[in-house]
Amino acid sequence: MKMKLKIFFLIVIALTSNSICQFSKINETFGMRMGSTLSHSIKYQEYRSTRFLPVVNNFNLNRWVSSKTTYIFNDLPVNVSLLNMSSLDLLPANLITNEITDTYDSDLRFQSGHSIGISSITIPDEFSISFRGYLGSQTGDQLIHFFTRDNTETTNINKIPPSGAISISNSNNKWGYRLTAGYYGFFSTGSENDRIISNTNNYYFNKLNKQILTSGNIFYQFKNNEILSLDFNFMSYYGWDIPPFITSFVHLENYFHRFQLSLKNLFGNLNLYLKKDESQGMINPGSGILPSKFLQTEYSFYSLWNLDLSESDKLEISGDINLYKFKNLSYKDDNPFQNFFNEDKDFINYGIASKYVHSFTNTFQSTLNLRYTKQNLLNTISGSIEIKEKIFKNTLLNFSAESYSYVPNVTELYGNFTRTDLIFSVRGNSSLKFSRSNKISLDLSYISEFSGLSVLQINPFFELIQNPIDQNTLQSIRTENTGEILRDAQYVNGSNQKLFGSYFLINAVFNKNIVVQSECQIADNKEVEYIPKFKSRLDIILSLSKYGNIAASWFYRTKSYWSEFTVSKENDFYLETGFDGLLPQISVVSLYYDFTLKPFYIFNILHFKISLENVFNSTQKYLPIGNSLNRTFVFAIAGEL
Amino acid sequence: MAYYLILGVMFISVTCVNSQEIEWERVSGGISISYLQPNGDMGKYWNNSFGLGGELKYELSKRTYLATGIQFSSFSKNNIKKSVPNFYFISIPLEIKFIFLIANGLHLSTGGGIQSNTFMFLGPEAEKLDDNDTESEFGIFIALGIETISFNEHTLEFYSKYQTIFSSPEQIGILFIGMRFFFF
Repeated sequence: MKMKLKIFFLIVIALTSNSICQFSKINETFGMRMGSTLSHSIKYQEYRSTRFLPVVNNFNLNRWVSSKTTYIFNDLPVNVSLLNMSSLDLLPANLITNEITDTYDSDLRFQSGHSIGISSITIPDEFSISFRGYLGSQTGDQLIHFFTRDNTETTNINKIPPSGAISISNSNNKWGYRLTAGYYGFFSTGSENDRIISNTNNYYFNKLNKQILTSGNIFYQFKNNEILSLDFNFMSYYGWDIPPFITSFVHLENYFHRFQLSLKNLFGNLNLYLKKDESQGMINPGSGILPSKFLQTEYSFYSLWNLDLSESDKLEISGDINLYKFKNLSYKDDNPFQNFFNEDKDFINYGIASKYVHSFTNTFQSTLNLRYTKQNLLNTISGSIEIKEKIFKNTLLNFSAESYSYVPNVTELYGNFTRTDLIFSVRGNSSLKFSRSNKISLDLSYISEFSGLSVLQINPFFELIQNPIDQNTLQSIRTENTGEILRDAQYVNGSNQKLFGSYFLINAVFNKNIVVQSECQIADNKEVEYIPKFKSRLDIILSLSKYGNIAASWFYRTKSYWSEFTVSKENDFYLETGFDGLLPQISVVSLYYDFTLKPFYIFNILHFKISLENVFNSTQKYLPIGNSLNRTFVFAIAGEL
Repeated sequence: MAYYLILGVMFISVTCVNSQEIEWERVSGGISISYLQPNGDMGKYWNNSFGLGGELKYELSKRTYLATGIQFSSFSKNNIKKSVPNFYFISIPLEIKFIFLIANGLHLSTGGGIQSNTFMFLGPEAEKLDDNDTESEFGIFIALGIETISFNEHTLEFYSKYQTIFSSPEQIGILFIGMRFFFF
């Protein structure tokens, strides 16, 4: 009997491996943009008030108002953010020229331990034109009911006009280039948001949220394999959102650009980088909101040296020095405005890091990371150790212990925003100390030898965060006219918090045309806000062979508690009921159909997708404020010439 | 709306082509006429209407078709409530359709799909919507019909279709009863 079970198990694994290999890219095709692709996995914490710009963290104890997940864009970190809104969709990246390469829990080359990598896809060695676009709409327009029902107001349901990006590229063994342009538009309003934003500023109320991106990349490869590359990336944002720093609806503008010069493989194994990141942010005026305009610039130099000490020993040494400048700008001549930063300032920080990998055997490896960082008067050391061992033929054991420190950013230190109508403000705190995250994790994975992907995975973890940087709420009210929850708050180092939990992944097939991918996470959230006790996702993917794939996805998470949004009855001037800060459970079913043709006439590949997200129109909220994400149809097309 | 039309046609053009070439002999086109009977508020405050449209379908296999089209209707108010406007109603369905032989030359057709519905509100009553006097919303539908092949291999189909439109605060339901004639 045991033998039969074992044979059955092995057959399932073998079939799964082939099919999962075939379907491994399905999740990527579900996403419209980088952010939505990542948020398809429960491994990430997602916070958003609209369908777009999700703030995604890969560290469970990340505070929403103070994300410590760093995006590593084209090998280098992005350290400037718009009002602490660190969304993938605010980067000049798109799904045709970029990919999410990895998530790091033990990479200390940069200032953050927890990071998400986004890199450019290799430029093809022939002239190529690629594009990806989509359009769609949430359901729930009033249509005739605006006329037939009394006391109705017009509602701007979330709509997605034609959006997407196009790229042209070419390369040979010496040089290459890529030019990319994109446009993304969406209305981020809806019944709840309409009331708030129309009362805040009627001029911007009906404005479409829009983003433009452009990128230019060129490289030249020298005879001795050295590569010189120059990259320019630009992304703009114009629209309504709830930035974590303000935790209130404001109309924003942001113009971010990066210049990056890279010299790789110098002397065989030395990489040098120079970059300039600049973000010009604007808060536009509204009822009780004075406008502000501010500039953040970071100049950085990075070096990375890989040393092969022996066949079994590898050493990586890296260093970085960063000049950070931030200042207030005048909004418009003669207009009153508020300074977003308490002071204009420059400062330098630097760090040195090393990574040492020792392979005891072909199947047993250890990694030691160390980093020293200095910023202003703060010095800190981070470190991690990781042990990987193949304990059976296809079973991998990965143990890691990490301790990272985080230096507060300029928004947390010097940010300032005041509602002049109610004299409510959110303030930075220049005396903040660094916080420290400690994590122990054990990861047991059964890897398919056919696809190289995990078929079974169990990952228990324990996290402890010391001196977490958070906003301390002094008072919360629900306003009379709009029903918006406003907070009077200041950044502080909060009390220590810990979280114990486990992540599970099971991929299985029932026959060669059906794949089931499931994952869940259980966490003891007694001490921790935001984190639901249970999260799960179940994807069932049915292959129709030449007619494409149909997928059904069920996402479920239990309720969570957000104490900072608690409003007492006395301070609830809108409903007079008070608000207990509970975010209800989410249970969302979505359907997808995708179809690929290759080749098709002049196209090398042509890909179509129709998705119906939130089929049953259930309540789907990731923040106590902002709209529920309702049932949505999205049509997408992608191709390559 | 035009986007959905383009997308729908494009979808038909490619979905069915396994050889990566459009087999034009599998494409049929024609016209349709139908009677629209809405329920709920739409049935209460507006009169029933007739619709006229164009149809396209693509033969995926002997019994399976992908169909789209565009249909235009005009709804006039019945004066129960004077403040409601007249409106044009334009629908663009995307349907997967199956046919079964029930008698010589006679087929039963059944199918379902999604439909884009555009409401263009007219007249002074619509002015309070300002620039938002044209709104679109999706719906889903199921359909049942009888097809007969006659008139030099041309197809005549009598069909009924019920669709629900995902509007708020309640969904709108519309029953279509009509006839399609595919002449190429």
